[in-house]
Amino acid sequence: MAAFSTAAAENETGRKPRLAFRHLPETLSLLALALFLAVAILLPVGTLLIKGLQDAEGNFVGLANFVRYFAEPGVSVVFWNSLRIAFISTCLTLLLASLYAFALTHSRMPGRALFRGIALVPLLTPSLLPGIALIYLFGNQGFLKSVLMGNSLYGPIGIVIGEVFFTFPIALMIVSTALSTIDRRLYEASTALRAGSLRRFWTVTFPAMRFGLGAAFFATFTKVFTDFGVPMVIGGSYPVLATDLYQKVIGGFDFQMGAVVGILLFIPAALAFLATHLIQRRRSSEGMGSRAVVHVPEPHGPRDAACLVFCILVAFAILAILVTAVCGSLFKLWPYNLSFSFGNYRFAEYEPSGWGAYLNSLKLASATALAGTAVTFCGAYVLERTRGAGGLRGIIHFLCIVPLAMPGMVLGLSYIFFFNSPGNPLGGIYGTMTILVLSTVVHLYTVPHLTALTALKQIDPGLEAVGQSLKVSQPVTFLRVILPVCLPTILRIASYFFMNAMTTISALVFLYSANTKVATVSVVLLNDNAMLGPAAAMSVLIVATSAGVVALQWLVMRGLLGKTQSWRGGAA
Amino acid sequence: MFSFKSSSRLRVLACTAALIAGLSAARAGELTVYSALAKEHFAELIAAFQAKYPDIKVNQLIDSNGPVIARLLAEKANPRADVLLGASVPGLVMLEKQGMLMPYAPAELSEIKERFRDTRSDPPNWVGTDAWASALCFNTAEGEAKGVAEPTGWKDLLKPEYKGMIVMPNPNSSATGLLAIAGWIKLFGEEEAWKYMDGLHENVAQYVHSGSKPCRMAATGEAVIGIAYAAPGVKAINDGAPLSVVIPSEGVGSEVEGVAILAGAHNVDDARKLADFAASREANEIHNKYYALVARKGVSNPVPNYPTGEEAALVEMDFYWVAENRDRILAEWQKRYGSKDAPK
Repeated sequence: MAAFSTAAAENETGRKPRLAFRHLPETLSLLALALFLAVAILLPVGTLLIKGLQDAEGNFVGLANFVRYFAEPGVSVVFWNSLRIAFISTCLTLLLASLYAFALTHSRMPGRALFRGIALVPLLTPSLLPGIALIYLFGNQGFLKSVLMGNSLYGPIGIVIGEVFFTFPIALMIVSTALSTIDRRLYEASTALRAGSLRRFWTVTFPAMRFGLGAAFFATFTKVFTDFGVPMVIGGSYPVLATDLYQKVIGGFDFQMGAVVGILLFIPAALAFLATHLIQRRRSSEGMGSRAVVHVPEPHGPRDAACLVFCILVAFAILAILVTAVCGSLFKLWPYNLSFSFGNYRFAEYEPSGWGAYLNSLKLASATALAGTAVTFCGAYVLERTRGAGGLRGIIHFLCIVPLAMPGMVLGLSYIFFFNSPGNPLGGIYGTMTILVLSTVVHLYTVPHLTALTALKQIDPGLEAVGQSLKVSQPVTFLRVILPVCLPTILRIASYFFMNAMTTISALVFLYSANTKVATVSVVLLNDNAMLGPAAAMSVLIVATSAGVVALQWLVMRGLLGKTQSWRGGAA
Repeated sequence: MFSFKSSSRLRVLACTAALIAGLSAARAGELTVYSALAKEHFAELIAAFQAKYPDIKVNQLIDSNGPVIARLLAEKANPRADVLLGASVPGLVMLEKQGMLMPYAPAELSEIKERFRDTRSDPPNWVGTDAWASALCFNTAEGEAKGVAEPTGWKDLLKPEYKGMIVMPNPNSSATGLLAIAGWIKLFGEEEAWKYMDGLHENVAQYVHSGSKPCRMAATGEAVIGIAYAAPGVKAINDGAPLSVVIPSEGVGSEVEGVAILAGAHNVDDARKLADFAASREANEIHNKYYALVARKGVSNPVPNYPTGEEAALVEMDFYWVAENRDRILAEWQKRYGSKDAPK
């Protein structure tokens, strides 16, 4: 195939004058992609930034809003609160996740696959769920209230516990990937040089996982810093930026200050994003050599036992939060009547939208999965496997990565400013399901985009050239060859979109309207009215749905795809 | 390579489709209603309205008072809502000042008591539905367990024994919170009121987002005392919670909730039907199930378990003063208590 592609390349250079015309369709599709990203990301965020520099009447006032914000007494407290909470939670999460990842990758304890599965459970939950469960466990009427020794759950303690639960799987995945790619030969060398286990840790294990730790630190920090769900439920009177933003905009009618807080919320995320990129650049030069050997730990009794005990404790804590939420949703009148009933699931009695909110979530998640998968995959395809329009590609690449650094709340706020401005021809989508789908697709864009790019890079670049030499057009090759080959990736992307659309709250809390209220918004409103049981019930429903989709994806991957993917087995 | 062109054509199509879908959300026969009423109250009103006009589809958005007004202000340039059914009068006055209300005299306006409607404009910008007053919710079971007595007045709440047991709505988001403060200012004078709140702050465990939350938190024992209004407490008692609703002896501030049609309403005809309905006897009898004081003359049935003596305890409130001083009061409140550190 290599021969074909070089032949095709020569062919091209030979016919240079017609090149621009020949690449017109590709250029057009790239332009369409760039236009989509500009409307969905660039313009809204730009509007937000401008809004931060204007007064309520729309006059340019420079940095006056920022000055006003920081002059307001007690405001910097909120900023420091957010930083402090994010720092403490991140350190705790990293400590737990590193030990857990070590146990998964560097021990021979039994049940490693099971422990890995349990650790990923928080990915299925909205961040509101740990907050709700913690109220049942440690609230003023909680079963384990005495554990807090008289301290109140509402405030930093509760937020930190909730955030550790919520971000644990993210940190775990990054750190365990770093740990599992350590070259076994380094361990063999250190053993041959008679290094003690401590020395070996400092000279082999730690340097190898340093970058993973750094990446995990930034990912976790950003997540906590911008999270709305946990502090919303158990933040009490301890203000953080995310709840402050909600309070400013939703409670205080103050959109200028909202824009200011939104921009502040964006800064650490943007810094973290830059830092991660710098780390990755260094990392790629140091990466695993092609002759590296995967480390397979030897059995070691005491170490494996300690790992097992630790993992059981962590897994138990994760499951306890989930089980508590399920029980909470079933209690008849907590805390005075703990008999079980399904009363809390009769949502219409507590929230006017009733089950409608859940149905809206299903609609949103399905539409996001469909539209998101189509846009990200086709986008990645156009970007990766067509030629021409070099400069445009760079811009598109950048725009595709931006959402990763963009807190959902900032995105939601900028969508209000952009789509609700009177002159906007797209203003019609404000208040409809379309804007919820669009914001969710954009919010989640980066991970599926990178997943699709990786998958496409693995396919021989000569395929299209072969197709062309057989007089098969590129779109046909795309449909007949690329799509089937990438089916597992496409499924993964679709279920990622679906699951995250079910559990996300941050952007939606600003964008929902009378008839597009979704389940997570309903949880926020129920909790706002101290209707804990129904809030728990709605959260449990969300988790059950996400779990169902993951199970479905797994079944489809195993069953149906066995046929289309059998070629992979031969190749490996 | 044709399908690349058609894919960009498809995007244009998709955008157009999205536009049409968006515009159709506001077509006639559909009424978009925003509300800050209690949910049960709102649901019952709309059900009765739709029984009368089965062809009108109602899109509804319910939240606390602050969020609803904030949303309307955010949408000012591009209005979505037809009717605001139930918002506190200071909020309505704010909208009026921005020119966002469409004056309308509902049928049977003459049956509405004087203090329950906009008397500064004819036709009125808004018409009241009910009035409610500040109240305390006290969890008797938790009170007994913790050995604290039921408070009888506002000043009782300063006693050190209640430290960390009181929950109050944040006035930035909740009209209930703002009302409590406006009531204290009216009762004690402004300077004394801030002194009172300084003392109260020491005992407050949490300032929460919504006005109905404190009583529900008291009902589940998450708090012992909730500073709020009677209706959610009465509902919790009727649901079996060990709660009592106290009308503080010094007197209570009160607030009127009202209905208004919005200036940018897409469906003015149906909006007027709803405004007429909200002022009708039938609707007032529904208001009366949740509030002891309703707008229409001659409707006053006792609400089960509703505390007695509310009407006698009311102090005269000036809505316009509250609306005009809102920003100043909130800024002062924020300065003093907004950045409360971890609850002690």
